[in-house]
Amino acid sequence: MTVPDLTPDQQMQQLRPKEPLAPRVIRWIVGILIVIPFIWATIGLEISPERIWRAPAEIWVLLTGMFPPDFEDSGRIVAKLLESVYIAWIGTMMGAVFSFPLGFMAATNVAPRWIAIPTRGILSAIRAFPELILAVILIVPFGLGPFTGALAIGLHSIGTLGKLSSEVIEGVDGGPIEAIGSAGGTLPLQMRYGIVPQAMPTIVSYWLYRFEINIRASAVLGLVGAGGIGAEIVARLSFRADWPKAGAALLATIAVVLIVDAVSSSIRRRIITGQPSTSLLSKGMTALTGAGRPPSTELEA
Amino acid sequence: MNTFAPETQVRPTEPPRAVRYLTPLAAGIAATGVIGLAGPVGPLWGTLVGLVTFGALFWADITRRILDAGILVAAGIAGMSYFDWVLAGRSGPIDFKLSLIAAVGWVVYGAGTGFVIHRAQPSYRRTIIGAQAVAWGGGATLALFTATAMGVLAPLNARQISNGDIQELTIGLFIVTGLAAAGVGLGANFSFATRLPSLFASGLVLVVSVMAYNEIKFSTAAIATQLGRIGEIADDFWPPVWKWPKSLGQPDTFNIIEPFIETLQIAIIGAVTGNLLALPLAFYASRMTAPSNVAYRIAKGFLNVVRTIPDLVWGIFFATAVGFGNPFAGALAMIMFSLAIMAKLLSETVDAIDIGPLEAGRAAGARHTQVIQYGAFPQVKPNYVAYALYIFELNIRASVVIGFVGAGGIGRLLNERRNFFQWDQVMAIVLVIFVSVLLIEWFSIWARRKLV
Repeated sequence: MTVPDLTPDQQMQQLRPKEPLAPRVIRWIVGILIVIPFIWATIGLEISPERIWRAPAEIWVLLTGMFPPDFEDSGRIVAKLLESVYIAWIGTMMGAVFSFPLGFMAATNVAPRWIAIPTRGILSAIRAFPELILAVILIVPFGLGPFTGALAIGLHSIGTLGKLSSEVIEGVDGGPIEAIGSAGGTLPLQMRYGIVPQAMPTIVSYWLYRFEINIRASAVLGLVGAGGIGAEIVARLSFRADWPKAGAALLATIAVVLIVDAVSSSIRRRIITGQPSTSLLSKGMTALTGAGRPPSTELEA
Repeated sequence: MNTFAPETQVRPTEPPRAVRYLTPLAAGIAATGVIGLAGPVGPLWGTLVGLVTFGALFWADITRRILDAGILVAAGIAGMSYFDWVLAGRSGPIDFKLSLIAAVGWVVYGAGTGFVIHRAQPSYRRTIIGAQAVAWGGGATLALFTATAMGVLAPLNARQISNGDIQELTIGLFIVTGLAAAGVGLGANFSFATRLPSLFASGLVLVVSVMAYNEIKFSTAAIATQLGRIGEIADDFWPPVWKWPKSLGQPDTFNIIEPFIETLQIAIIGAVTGNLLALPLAFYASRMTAPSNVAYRIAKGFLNVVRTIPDLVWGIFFATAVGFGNPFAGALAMIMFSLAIMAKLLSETVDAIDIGPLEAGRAAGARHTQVIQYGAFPQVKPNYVAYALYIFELNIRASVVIGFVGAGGIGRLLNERRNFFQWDQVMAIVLVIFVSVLLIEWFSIWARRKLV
């Protein structure tokens, strides 16, 4: 066999086939689909380079106005923050309790299709309303106050948690369910022993995760008069221009959100991995609850 | 000859002894709370509570017979009638003695549950009957007395309770204790695996729930009444009005489209800019690709703070800084919002990439940026695209409400119409939002399925 008489350059071209046309075309189309709307949006919102140039200075003015913060009426801030936490808590509880059965009803490996499909539709319809808009509507019958906020957050949580739970339930291993079924277990027994042990850790960690999100949501519900810290921040920033006090409220909100996140994520890690994390907080909780001992595997005498 | 004994093979391991006693006890205490607080409204609750108890026992796999359910319901109705009769016959505030007398009915009922448990599962010895009786009776006494001591029942005498004057109160407490029952039941189930911590946790859940319930003045009665007059409320909202004069004296026009486009533009700017800015930041915020530990800490800390602040607070912040009603503020808020989520998701993905290409790049003498560009980015590119779509979806949802704080878009219009109490116009706007959010969600799901 003769070696083809090729220069090294030609050889390279031979070894490397040309890139097919389709991906390149798609790349260009996607690029255009991003760039053109972006330009359209920039023009539509009248964002000029000069406008962007001015923004950092304006933000700096606000920042220096807010800091150092004024913690004079911290009692009021704490009360309002607690209210936000309570709203988020009740909302999460509502979401957890009602989404649990709905999650089973929306899972196609448990419920028949004629139940699962409508349930899913309802869940995604609930989800399509942001909390704030639910709150706006619910204020009409239930009036101003934290109760309305809790209802709005609870309703939205039912939608999101229901969807997440149903996905977890659909993702479980079918083996145990089948085993229970073939041993004569009824559908409730299959759910109790086939699905719940597999799905529960993930579902509970979703509940906790939802609580973290709800804390953020309830912090802003005050905007429409549905209780919590949000009204304080808005009133101080925009209406009274009391910036140092707004800074205090903002800082306190950030602190609470960070604390809740830290606690919740350490619990979630514990639930999912079964291992306590090495953080100080987790060690404290372990000492408090007596957890962390190796599970006793020996049979009872 | 078959020496195989199927009975012993069906359930090879029993739950630990502590759990065998704790589960029915917890169910009993929880249901007692329900009865103790909601009891005086009549035998209907007796039936309900009997069924709830049966459900709890069934769920814990302690009993599964119809007859057991019947016994519990009958005991529930009997106990409830006694409870009702005792309280209806008295006047004056409920003191500890009266609580105790009323609770006698529940001692009997508790013994009934203990009997059912013992009958269904002989592994529970006869002592369970006594334990249940004490739990139910004690629970009912405490529940009644605590409610009085806390002041919820203080201004009312027993007759008023029985007459249903405080039905609102009792039904409300019924729901709280129902939530508590869910918490305790769940904890009892979990104690199969983790025992003490879950009992501790369910106690905590219970306490916080009751506090939160009282604090935000939760009222199931309000829900019931408002559901009753849903027709009147719907009259305010329905039919939606699509056209209204832009200002006084002008003809009716369809005014939703303009702010809607503004919202869309805010979302586009926020998503595109935020995603682009997040790209370098995500590589700094992953241990795998950070150039130094200091850079990693700074990037991570910055992202944590940005993520902590809710989108609407960003909106207020920027609206105050660059001017109220200015969509530019909304765009800035959306940039921060997208940036934080994208950087977090992407940096976690980068954490899990294969280190091989990075090492190969370094060994070949590539600079740090080259290592990232050719070693790390191609590995996370599909995820990046999927996340970008997801973030665009989130941006649409978030930019809808950002106008509430004066950051432009359809939220501003909604807030304005709301302040004029034009509920039918509000409804039209809400419908537009509803449909567009649903469409975006479907599109996003479809596109992600195509891409990944």
